[in-house]
Amino acid sequence: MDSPLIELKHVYKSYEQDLTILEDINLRIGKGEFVFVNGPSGAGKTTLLKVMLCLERSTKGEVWVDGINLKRLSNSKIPYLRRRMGMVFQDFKLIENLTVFENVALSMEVCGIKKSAIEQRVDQVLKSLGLEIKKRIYPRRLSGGEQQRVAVARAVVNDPLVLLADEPTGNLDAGRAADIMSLFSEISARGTTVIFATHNQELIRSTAKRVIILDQGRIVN
Amino acid sequence: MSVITYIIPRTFSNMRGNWLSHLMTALTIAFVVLIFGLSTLIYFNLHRLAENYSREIRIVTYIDPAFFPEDIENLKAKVLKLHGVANIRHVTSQEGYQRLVQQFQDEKDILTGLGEDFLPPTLEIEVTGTMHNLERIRPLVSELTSLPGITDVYYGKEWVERLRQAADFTRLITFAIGGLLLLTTIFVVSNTIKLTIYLRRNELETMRLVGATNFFIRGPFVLEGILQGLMGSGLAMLALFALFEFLKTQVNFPGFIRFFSPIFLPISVVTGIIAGSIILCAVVSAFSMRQFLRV
Repeated sequence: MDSPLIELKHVYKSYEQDLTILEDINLRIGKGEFVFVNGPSGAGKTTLLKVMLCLERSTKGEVWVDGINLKRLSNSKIPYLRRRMGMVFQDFKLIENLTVFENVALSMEVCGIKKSAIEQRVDQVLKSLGLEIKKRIYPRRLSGGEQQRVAVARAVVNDPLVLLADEPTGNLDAGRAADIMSLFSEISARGTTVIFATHNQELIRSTAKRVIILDQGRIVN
Repeated sequence: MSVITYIIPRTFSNMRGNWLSHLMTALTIAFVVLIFGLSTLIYFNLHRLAENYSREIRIVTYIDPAFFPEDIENLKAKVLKLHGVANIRHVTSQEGYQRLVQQFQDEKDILTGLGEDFLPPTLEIEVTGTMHNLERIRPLVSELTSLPGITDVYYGKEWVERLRQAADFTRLITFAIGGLLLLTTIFVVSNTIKLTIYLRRNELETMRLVGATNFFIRGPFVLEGILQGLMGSGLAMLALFALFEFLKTQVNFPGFIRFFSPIFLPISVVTGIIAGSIILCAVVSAFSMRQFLRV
């Protein structure tokens, strides 16, 4: 791997002196790579993703994303970094009083993109994810799998460099989980780096992807 | 771009969704601004009245009745030389009596038994323009008092001072209400914004995750504050104007201010109050967001 898209060098994250969540994390993830982050609950998977998205700052060490040292990134620049990254959560984090279309469009609106361009792109993404007929519907009327697909649509609508997913299949049954998994594989195949945090061993076994195993804040493989 | 396509529509949709809370906030602001405006209006008119009254100050000096006409002429000459005296008129006891007769035409009995010379002769002094001020007239009054033959000096000091005191007191009240306005607005607007933030915390968190800047997140809230300030203070100024027009036709001003015509606050003051309320609400909204706008 010549120049990784994401690189973590001796990263530590602790909240108090005796509460260390991440410990000496060293990691290199290349462009277009699909990586699972696996480990039991409380292993530090979510914190690792938050550090990459700059939702949390590392206590020690360096985090590099697409050539940017996050340690030196000012607070005012963080939103611009996040626009180049998409994130999908276990609880979807959809806005209840916005329609499917408006939820997906939000990612583009915050970038100040023209309304006509937003309409065109959101329609295109919703169509590719089979959500076109649901665009005027509010999230509470969708199934769990559909809601997660809307969350994925919102994460990919800006063509991000990297897609971070935190237990995106955690609230879904096995069939829906497999659908979402294949959706992420497609996204990865188009050149987007995918970092997929899950404790679901079965899901990992079903694919032949790189796996990073975390336990008590340390990489153990 | 995002101001037009996102912030303005979002502000109106938020206000529609939470209209009761916004209406209560605007009404509270309107109530406090109305009290502040009323107090300012009273101060403004009392101040004008005091100024008008000061402009009409005349000094009346009472002359020792034992003075001979030639002594009075000498006295007149001395008074005319004093700084600030524009004109002088000698009113004899008889002239004074005739004025009383004319004033009490319907109640002539009051004057029964009083001789035509029961009033002391007086000198009515008109002062120059620069002397139409209580502070400047005082040295002239003390000079007049020290002249031999002058027994007393009257210049309506009590009324002017009472008006000034009333105006000063009203100004104090206006400042106090201004302080109250400040505190109430801070409390009400910040609580409305905090309530809205609480209700929409998931949405705001999602916005941060997808890369919204603080300006983008804060924009609708600040605009809501601006609109609340505009609606509240605008409503208050309209209500104040209606109240003023109503009271003007209902209140009969007593005695010496019968000819005083009160006026509404100048447009500059009205604009200032509205602009001040808007700025205050916008600043409070922006500050209420601060604790939320972490990275």
